[in-house]
Amino acid sequence: MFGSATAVLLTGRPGLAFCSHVPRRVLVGPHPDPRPGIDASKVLTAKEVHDPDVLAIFDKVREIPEVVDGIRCHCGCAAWDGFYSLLSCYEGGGMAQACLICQGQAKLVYKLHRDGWSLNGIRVSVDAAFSES
Amino acid sequence: MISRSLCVFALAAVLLPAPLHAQVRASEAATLSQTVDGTVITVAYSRPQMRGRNPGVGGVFHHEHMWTLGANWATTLEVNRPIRLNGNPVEAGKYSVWAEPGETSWTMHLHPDPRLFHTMGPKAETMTVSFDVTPTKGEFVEVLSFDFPEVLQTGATLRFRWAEVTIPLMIEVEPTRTGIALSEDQVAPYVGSWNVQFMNETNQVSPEIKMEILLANGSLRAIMDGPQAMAMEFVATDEPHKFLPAFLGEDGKVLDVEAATPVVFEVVNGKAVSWKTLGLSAEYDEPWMWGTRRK
Repeated sequence: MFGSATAVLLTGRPGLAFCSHVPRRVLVGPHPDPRPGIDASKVLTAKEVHDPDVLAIFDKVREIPEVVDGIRCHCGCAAWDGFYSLLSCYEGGGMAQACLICQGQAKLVYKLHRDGWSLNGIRVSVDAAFSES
Repeated sequence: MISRSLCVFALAAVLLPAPLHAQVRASEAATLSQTVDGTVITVAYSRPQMRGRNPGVGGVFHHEHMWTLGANWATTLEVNRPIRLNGNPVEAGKYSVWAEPGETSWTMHLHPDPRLFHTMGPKAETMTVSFDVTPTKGEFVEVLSFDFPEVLQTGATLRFRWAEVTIPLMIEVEPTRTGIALSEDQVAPYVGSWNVQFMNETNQVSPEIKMEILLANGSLRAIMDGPQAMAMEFVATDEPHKFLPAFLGEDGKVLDVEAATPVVFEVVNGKAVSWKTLGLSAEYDEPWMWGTRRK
């Protein structure tokens, strides 16, 4: 309840508070610390994700859960209960399937991590690319 | 005889004071300057003092009298770029500043001739800009003063104070950033992965740092990796492949535009292969930051 109310306050649009097909960027607090021992066991697989292009992004996230878990999602979902990090968008309901911001963030995180970027640099990049300013 | 006269003249030259080139003034001259996002705002004025005079109307202020906000030569306001003064557009230039004090409001004027003596108050109809302001009563100020108590990214407050009269004038500047969103096609030559180096505080070349240039919210942004990871925006200019580096704060808003050292990309076959900042001057023409494309 608290989470949804916060999201509504942040976005001002209840219908779009939760990540939807409509790209929406929301700045919500600092980046989370990656949880010790976090893994990709909850990231959705081909069984749930049927679009091959989208599945490719889920596969990227599956490779680096400890990095994606240190990224705050800018789409607005970070204020919702149960959403800890960008990794959360690829678990459970797998809403990243329909959210271009979640997908874009994951692609950028994967690319920079593959290029040897630090988590700090990746966070600054995600903020610069996806914050509203 | 001649030699005696020369001696007397020489002695007089030693003993007599030199001719005065500058003289003490009852209202000494002062200059105040403030830069806001590349716009330089300069106020030059002479500073009369109260010296026990009547601080009210009929004292140092006279109703309906065209008065420069200072003394001697008229106070001037100079701007190198267009501004808005209390919402009124003002072209770049140098103006003399005048006011007509009233009962509850004053009419402020800018005149196109900056070189007028304070007794030469021009007619109101010859002014370039005129607008009314409402003075407020403030702390007693002995020496007529201008200052900039507030400086924002978009403008500044120029404050006039004398006796108990305070008049804040709101100055808005033209933003360096055009606000025009860049398209993917426009930024395509520049986006990608880069290595960047810069001159550090001890004038040594830094190790190579990874940089990613991308399109975000219609602007070209460059992010540097590392413990001091930071984001910049390359602000487009009128010249092709030339940008102004602007440092972004944590909130993603522009914090500082380095207008003096633009970034220029070298483009080969439609794709940028390197970039560097231009030198500050002919004497110091080395770049302080440069990049080479990784992919």
